[in-house]
Amino acid sequence: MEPHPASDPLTASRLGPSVAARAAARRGLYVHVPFCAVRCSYCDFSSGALSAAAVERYLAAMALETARRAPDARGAVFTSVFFGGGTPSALSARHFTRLAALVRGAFAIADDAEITLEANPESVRAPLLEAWATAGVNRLSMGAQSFDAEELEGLGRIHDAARPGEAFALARAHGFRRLSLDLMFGFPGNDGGRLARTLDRALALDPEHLSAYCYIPEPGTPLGDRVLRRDVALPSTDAQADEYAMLTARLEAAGFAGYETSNFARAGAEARHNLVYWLRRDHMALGPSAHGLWNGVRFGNHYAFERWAASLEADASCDATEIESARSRADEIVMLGLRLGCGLDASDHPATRWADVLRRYGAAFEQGLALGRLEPARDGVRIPRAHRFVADDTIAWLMAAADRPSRGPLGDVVRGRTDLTPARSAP
Amino acid sequence: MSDPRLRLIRNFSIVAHIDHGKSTLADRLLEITHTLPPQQMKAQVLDDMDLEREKGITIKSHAIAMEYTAKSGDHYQLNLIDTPGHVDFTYEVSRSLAACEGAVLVVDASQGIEAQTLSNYLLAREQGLTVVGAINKVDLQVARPDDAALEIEHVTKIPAEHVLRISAKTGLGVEDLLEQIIAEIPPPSGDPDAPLRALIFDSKFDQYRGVVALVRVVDGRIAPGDAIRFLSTGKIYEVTEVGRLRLKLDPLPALTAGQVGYVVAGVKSVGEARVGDTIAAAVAHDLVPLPGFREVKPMVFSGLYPIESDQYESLKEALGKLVLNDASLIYEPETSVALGFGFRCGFLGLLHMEIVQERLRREYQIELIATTPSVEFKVLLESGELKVVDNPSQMPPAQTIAVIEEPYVLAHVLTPGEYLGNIMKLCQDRRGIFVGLEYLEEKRARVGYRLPLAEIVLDFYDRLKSVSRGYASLDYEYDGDREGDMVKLDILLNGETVDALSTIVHRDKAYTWGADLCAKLKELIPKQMFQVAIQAAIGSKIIARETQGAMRKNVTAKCYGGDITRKRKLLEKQKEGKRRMKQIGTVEVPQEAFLAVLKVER
Ligand SMILES: Nc1nc2c(ncn2[C@@H]2O[C@H](COP(=O)(O)OP(=O)(O)OP(=O)(O)O)[C@@H](O)[C@H]2O)c(=O)[nH]1
Ligand code: SF4
Ligand SMILES: [Mg+2]
Repeated sequence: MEPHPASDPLTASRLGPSVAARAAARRGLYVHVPFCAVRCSYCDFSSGALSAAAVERYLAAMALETARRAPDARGAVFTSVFFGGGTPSALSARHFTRLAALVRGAFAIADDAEITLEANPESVRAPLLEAWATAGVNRLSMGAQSFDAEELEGLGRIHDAARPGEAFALARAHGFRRLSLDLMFGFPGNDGGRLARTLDRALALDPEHLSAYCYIPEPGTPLGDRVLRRDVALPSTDAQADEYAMLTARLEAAGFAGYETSNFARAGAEARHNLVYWLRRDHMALGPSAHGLWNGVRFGNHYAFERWAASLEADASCDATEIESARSRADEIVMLGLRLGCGLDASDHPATRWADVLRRYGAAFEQGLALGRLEPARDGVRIPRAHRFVADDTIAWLMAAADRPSRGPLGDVVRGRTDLTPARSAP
Repeated sequence: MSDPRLRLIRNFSIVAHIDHGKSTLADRLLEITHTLPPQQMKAQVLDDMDLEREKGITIKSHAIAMEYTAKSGDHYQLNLIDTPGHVDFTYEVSRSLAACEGAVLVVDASQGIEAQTLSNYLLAREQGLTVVGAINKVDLQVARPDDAALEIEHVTKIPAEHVLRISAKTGLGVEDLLEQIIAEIPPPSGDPDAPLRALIFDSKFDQYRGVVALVRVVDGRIAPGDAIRFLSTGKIYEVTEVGRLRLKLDPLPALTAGQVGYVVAGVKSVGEARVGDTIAAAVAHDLVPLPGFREVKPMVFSGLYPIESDQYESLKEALGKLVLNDASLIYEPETSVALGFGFRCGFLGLLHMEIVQERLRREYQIELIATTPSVEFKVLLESGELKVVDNPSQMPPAQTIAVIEEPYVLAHVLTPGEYLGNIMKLCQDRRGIFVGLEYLEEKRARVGYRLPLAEIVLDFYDRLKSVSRGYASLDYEYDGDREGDMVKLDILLNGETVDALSTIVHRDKAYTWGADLCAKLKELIPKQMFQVAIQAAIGSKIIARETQGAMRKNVTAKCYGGDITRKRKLLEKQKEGKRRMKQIGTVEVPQEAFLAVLKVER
């Protein structure tokens, strides 16, 4: 098998996200809800046990954080909001309504904003759906991970394989038009056959959007530690790559475009909020472990709920910040933009920033194109479709090439043959 | 007869096979003579280069002046020169010996006489030096001092019972050895009143002083203010400083006949104060220069290229500085299609090459790619033209060549008898021509072969050690050129010849070489974005192939707000790895791959 067949530019150009979707993703707001009913075996997100007292403390701290951050965002209109976690769907209707009110009270949300909430299938019930809809939530991202009972158990999920279907039906009945499913592959016990069956069940639910993540063993999680201790075996990288190829082909055949490494959408259903990250647009962030990028500063809130809440209560700093440089900005634009199906596009960035990118990466892009690591895109470059599962190699390669300040007359990419150049100059 | 004024001077070198304890013995002598304050003492204190300390071997000779009141009550000036034991640095030993009247031949009691024990002994005898034997490491459980003594007697004719048994580690017997040195090694025999003649036996470069010539004053006297002349160049300088060698330079009012010390005379380039030259008074004429040294010939050649092409200038500067202290290193610019601009360098051997590379990396922060080491071939073309080729990619096309000659060495292996069979087989496999066999005493044999240098520079020593469980030792010297049926073996990566990986091998071995080299390269070239075809070819004929499959996975599954900084750091790390690779066509080739030829097991 030739591992990397030449990619098909026609299909690639349809991968999106569309110009309209990219333009609409102007400014995002992320809200982290750090509670889960039960901890899954693979998860390293900031999340803890749910209790009324904890939620009260969370909401109080959230009031402090919104008050602290709101002045920075005065005048800014957010085109997307994302309630992530943790499990936002684990909050009661009353608690969620209070959280949403806090956010809306402090920040200006566009009327047509995309407002997403991460929901676990087992928690999707009518009263909650009503509360979410009332708060303006118009998109649900449902963590299914798998439709295989054995796999669900291994992952420590508390819902069964039928539950996502029921949740979908209920959500549709409540008028939710934009539903997304999260799937996982390449974890211990998973294989191509099981993934194929999971995909069948997922597609049968007719979601507008799908995310499919290759499992990463995280140290400190029960499953991750077992993998790292080699108590359980991870599928080989070849198997994972085969699974990725298979799922991409299946989803594309079903009418989904792989618009980002791990994300697939029907036309117009791209996750606007996530585009904010990949296009490096400003985003505000609230809650423990939430990360934002605002006015040239990246900030990351304290990871642990306790520390985050305590620092807000003590009127102390609740985050770590890093001021961007022209260079870190260019590096991020490249590393994030090349995840997209459409690749890097000049029109996605202010002219001066794009000029920075070209200054640093222009020669590297040329070399990448010459080597077939990149292919030309609309007004920029992208990773050929067949290389998407090895994209980091090219990104690191570009960064290394960009670091090389000067090139000798022979260049660093030497094509052609060794017809002996006069090797020894006269002594 | 020695001038009575020189009666209390002794100049001697410590020589031995590698690791027999020369530098440790020097430590004890420095202690007994109170040359260094106790707080400055440490093990092998004379090994002052970082690399020497790390590798635990001596690379350069180190001279140091000591004073000692003997049991007789006489107060002596002693000059000790500690020498390296590795075969690559034999020339350091012969230069050091030229400054001395005697040599202490140290033999490890657990190893007995080894190849460099013998070769260094012969060097000392050739130069007419008095040899004092010492059996070292007698504190070791496995020491066999009586056997060692018999071997020494056999080789040097020094009666076994006359050889002192010492432990350089504990100090046992070292003071007696010092007394013996004084008693047996003659004082220098120069004439302090004759016109000045001093031999430059080494030189180094000092940032502030310029060239510091290490000299042995043979006749006369030299002092600051003197006008001196270097006989080979005829150039005249004024002496600004003379002195003796301690750990640092220690100025004296003058140096006189018989003494070893240093001379500073505002010389800017080492080329003007060449090792082996004679220093005389500027006004002198009709002086006979002292016998100098045979010029050292580099044996192994390799191209050195900076990984980052913009470091070319820094590399050039760094090499320029290294040769100031290492006259045996030679270099000249060359270019490679694969690697860009670099330098062809000549080394005394692989250890020397490794040391130079390591120094460039550490002292000058230059990451290098070294191309496949090669020896120097003489190529006679059909046209009658003679070409010297030390870079395989420069080998003319086969059809234009009439004859290729390759360098040979005369090699001697010293071994316990039981490994003789293995060793002779190894030599034969390496195209060796048997020269002779003798026994030093009943258990220890010395076998001689003429061997193509190309067959031994790369891995012969390691193989020798492994077929003899570490007991055999090797010594060799250049022995002329002989015709050989050599072919150029090219390596192609994804169809493109990589000039830096070409080698010149004997036709009979080309096929196995090609296959082994491809297999080794497959191990060294990591999986990457594209599949890599690794081929070996002679001319246009492919003789071996391996395929390195493409990398299948290298991607971050999730990349949202909080993952971005983390991912950037991960990519920075990957990037650093990439920066140490050389892009050749579609293939990224790591540094180590260029030395694959050294790692092929034969
Ligand atoms: N037990 C014991 N070990 C010793 C003695 N003398 C030296 N050694 C050890 O032998 C090793 C080599 O000693 P060196 O003094 O560096 O030997 P060398 O001859 O200077 O080595 P090169 O300069 O590399 O040729 C070191 O580990 C010493 O500690 C001794 O008398 N007894
Ligand atoms: S995967 Fe989701 S539900 Fe499971 S522990 Fe992590 S945040 Fe909670
Ligand atoms: Mg030593």
